[in-house]
Amino acid sequence: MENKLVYFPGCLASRKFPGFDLSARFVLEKLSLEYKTSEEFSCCPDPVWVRSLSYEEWMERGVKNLEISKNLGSKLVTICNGCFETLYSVKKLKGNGNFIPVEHLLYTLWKEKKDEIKNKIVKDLKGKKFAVHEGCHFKRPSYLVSQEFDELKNAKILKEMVELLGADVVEKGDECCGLPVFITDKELSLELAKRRIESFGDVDGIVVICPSCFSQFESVISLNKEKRVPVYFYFELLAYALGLEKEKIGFEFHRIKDNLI
Amino acid sequence: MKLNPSFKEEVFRAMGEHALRMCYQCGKCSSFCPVFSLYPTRFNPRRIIEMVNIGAEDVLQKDEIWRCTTCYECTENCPQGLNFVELIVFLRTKAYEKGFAPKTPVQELELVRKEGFSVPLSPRAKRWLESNTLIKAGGK
Repeated sequence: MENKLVYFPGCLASRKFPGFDLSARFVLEKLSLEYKTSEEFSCCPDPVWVRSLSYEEWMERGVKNLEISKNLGSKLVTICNGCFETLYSVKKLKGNGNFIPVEHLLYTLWKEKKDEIKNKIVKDLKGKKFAVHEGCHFKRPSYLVSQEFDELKNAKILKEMVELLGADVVEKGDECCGLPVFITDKELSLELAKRRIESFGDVDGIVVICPSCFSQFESVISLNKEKRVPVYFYFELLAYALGLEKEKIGFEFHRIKDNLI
Repeated sequence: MKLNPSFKEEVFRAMGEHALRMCYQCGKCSSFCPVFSLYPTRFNPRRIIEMVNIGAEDVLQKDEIWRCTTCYECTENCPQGLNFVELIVFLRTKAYEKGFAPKTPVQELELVRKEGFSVPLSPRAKRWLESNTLIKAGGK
């Protein structure tokens, strides 16, 4: 088997926010991480609603994505917390030995590429103050995730990775953004996000690693006509720092376009 | 409230009887729940576990079971090791089978069944992707 990463972009990053997909690919290339992906990949599927309504279909599709992956490379990486949770959980539930390892790309870079990133930064983010939000399904449920990623539990991974780019970081716990219930109780969902955003205080932006959290925060912030804090997907900032021109990042797919780096 | 012992047995079989029986209603699940902290009358994990434990099958028809964000705060903090998120997943699956699921999550499932993806590809995103050489060339 080739020693390549298998890159799984997921639905939101490839179909709604394609700049996220592009940024991640730019980062992979800049860091000389060879990767393969497949047009055969489908939705991971969604660990909240597909799993909730049809556990069997969730498992079947998850297995299919994992089956495709194992013929392409030696490690599957995702850029979405939901994809990570599904693919990682399905792999565990079906027996680890049958499939290649699954990681969130942020974790992979934190573990293996921090020094290289530092050396390759061409535009840093000094003078900016960003709030970080890792999102629930990056580290939880710990009874599944911590078996393999013991250091995950207490590590401040996103904080360290944003600081690596030169920015100051505000970190306020790890409360849920509320997105999963957006389609079943919108008022409640948006209140959760509003409380989370308010907890960050006065910042230049909010940095996330999950396209769902991104979408949720933008939904709430775009309701406020006066104060519009931009939300960034971490790989956009990393791609920018590694040399991708601002115009090519795909910021046109953001709803909040104010003050983007 | 209608009590149905066979419903209770069904959940126990699926979830593992031990974990549910070991719940002593301390309420830690609710106290750590971000939804409960905002709207305690709309969603209360402790109450849902209580309903299951007495065999109240009506729980499947409660709006409440669709308000869990699956953030896992409850699971992480349960002193008895009860995985409330797994319980919610099981209750939602049962509710869907009985036709009690809200329309919007069902639409998402149907989209995944039909197109293989949970979100549609917008024409704007399609154009952008087609013009992007890095995406077209990468990962082959």
